[in-house]
Amino acid sequence: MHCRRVYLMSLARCAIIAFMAAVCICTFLHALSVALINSPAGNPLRTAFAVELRRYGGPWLYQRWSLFAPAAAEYNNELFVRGKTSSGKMTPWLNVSEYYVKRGWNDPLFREHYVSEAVSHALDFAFAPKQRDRDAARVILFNAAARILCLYTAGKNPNHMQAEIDRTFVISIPPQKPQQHRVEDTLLGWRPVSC
Amino acid sequence: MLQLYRYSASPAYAEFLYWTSVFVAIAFLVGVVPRLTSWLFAITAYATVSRNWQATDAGLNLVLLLAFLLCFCDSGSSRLFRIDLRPLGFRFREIRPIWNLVHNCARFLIAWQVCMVYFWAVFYKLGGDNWRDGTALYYVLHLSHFMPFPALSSLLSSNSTLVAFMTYATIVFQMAFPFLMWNPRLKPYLIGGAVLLHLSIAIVLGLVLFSATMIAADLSLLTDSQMLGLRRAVARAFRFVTQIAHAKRTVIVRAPVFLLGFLILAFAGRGTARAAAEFCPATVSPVFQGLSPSEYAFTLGAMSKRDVTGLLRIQTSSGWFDADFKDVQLRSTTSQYNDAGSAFTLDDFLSTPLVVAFPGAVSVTYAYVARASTSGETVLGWDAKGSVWCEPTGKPGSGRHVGMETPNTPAMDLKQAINLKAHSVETALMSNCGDPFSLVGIQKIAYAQYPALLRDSAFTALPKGSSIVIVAVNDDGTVIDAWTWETSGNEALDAAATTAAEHTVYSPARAFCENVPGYYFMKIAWRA
Repeated sequence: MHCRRVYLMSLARCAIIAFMAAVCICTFLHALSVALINSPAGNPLRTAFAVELRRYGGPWLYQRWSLFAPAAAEYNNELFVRGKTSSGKMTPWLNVSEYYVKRGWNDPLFREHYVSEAVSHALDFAFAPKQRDRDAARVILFNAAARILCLYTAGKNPNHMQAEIDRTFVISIPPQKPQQHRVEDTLLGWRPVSC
Repeated sequence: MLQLYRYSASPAYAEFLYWTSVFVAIAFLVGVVPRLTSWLFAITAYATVSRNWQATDAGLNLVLLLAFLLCFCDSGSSRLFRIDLRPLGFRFREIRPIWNLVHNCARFLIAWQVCMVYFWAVFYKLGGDNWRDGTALYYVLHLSHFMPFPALSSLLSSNSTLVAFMTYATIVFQMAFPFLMWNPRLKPYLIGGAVLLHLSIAIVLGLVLFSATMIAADLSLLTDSQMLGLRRAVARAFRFVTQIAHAKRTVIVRAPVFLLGFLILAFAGRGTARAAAEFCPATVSPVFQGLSPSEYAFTLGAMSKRDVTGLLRIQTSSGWFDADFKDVQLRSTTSQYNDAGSAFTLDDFLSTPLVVAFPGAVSVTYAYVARASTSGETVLGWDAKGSVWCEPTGKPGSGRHVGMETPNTPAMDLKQAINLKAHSVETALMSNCGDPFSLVGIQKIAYAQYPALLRDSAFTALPKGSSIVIVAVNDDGTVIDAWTWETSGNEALDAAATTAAEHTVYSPARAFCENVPGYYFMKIAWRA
């Protein structure tokens, strides 16, 4: 009886020690995975374990956008929208970004703060290399643009809308030179809309 | 499976889930059975974030990870809500060492994650040109999405030395943190520095939620005794503040604070008094008529109906003269304009002639409205601005529309003239510089693009024509407004012309050696 109890206790102790060793190994592996996942894409260490890292990290550990690194963004993105009624009359250009960004600052209880985040991310993703990202971004931008258009053209009933992304680049830093801007307009095409 | 919002599309379910998440978060924060609420918090946080990944930012990524790791930590339940499980027969003695190990490993991974954030942030920053040459923060401070206080952002970016210092300081701090943080003596100071860094990011760039996440993550690296020490320090500071609030030195202590606050508000609240597209409540029409050697007739004009009171300043061969006018009515008249061969009509709001009598014979060379206030002006908001001092217009003789050909104004009907007397004044306006007068110029033109819709549509003949856009350019060269002056007949073409005019970079007009606001007429001839 006594021997059996000692045997069970030492078995339990071995199990405990094994479990603790497993915890330590998992900790170490997780730390290593986090380090590798954040390392520059394409480096040999990361590509060697790319599949396992992707399966382990899932969508949580990967970050697909960057704002301040490697280069701080040097341009302002703004989304404009205008509508066309069935009789062909055109509304003026409306600034969608201004609505979300400026209202966010002026209204502390602005409930659409996260729409503002989505719109500004979508403005970056509209130029992403992958078509899938560009399409997802366009959905967000068109939805936001449609909402602003319908909000500000109530009564005019536009049935088509056209969105445009304006990027204003700051080119040089004063005081060496006068501040210069370069503007790029990207038309996102016409789409039907119903308000 | 854990994306809880996908189980039902009904709004009631989403609301219920949302408020449950809020409740769980508060319960976890307060310390209600953390071993349970930590898991609930991790699950609900993941469900909320995975609802729409596009609306998240890096801070939420970190929150999810830390929420997951916190499930393995002993977060310590509050005294109020501790559930005592001993009567139920649980024996914790055996699993205490395991639990300690798991807790410590989770704490290590949290610290490791925070260090990873700082390390890779600076690693990637050093790969970018503008971080290496110390100019990155200049661009960051000019991003319109991160400008809760534009005056503060422009103040911080106004000095290139300051910008470079802040850029390099950020990089050095982010490089040092992941390594020096593991030294127990340096850790509190580094964490304090990190908290200050994130507070300043929250204030200057408005990234409140992200900064709050990073501050929470940084503070979680403190040990228990350091946390208690922090709590003691905060209590001490609070006692100190309440003491000096009651001391006799109150007035001296508070006054500089109010002065500083006033300076900040004054600086931030600085604005210009300009209406949407008019720089002055009234301007002088380019055509003035000499009725006799000492009498001249002027016409005032504006873009909407109003009554104006103000001061007309006139330059003559015998010096400058002022003529006060009161309650002059500007009413609608249809004017014929002829611009480089194309004739069109516009509604102007003109006064009856103002006949100014001078003390002696003079020869008038220039006139402008120096000061004016309106009443009954409901379109552009001039009434609310009260009495406004105006700047001279850009070219003598073209007082009303700088850069435009003289319109054929109707002959003055002197029967309804308003008589004014001029008196001599001294002005500070001078003409002894390189270019005392010039029109609004173009520094960099933005080319108008033929609207894609019209090109791709089923129009049999593509619309053509000329759009003339008038651009109101401020005295610093910025565009105040641009609108169609003469239509091409097609609104889409006009809109495209207006866009191009808005995006063009202008140099301001000059009058009497100073930059003044003015107008630019941009004519765009459309060819399909």
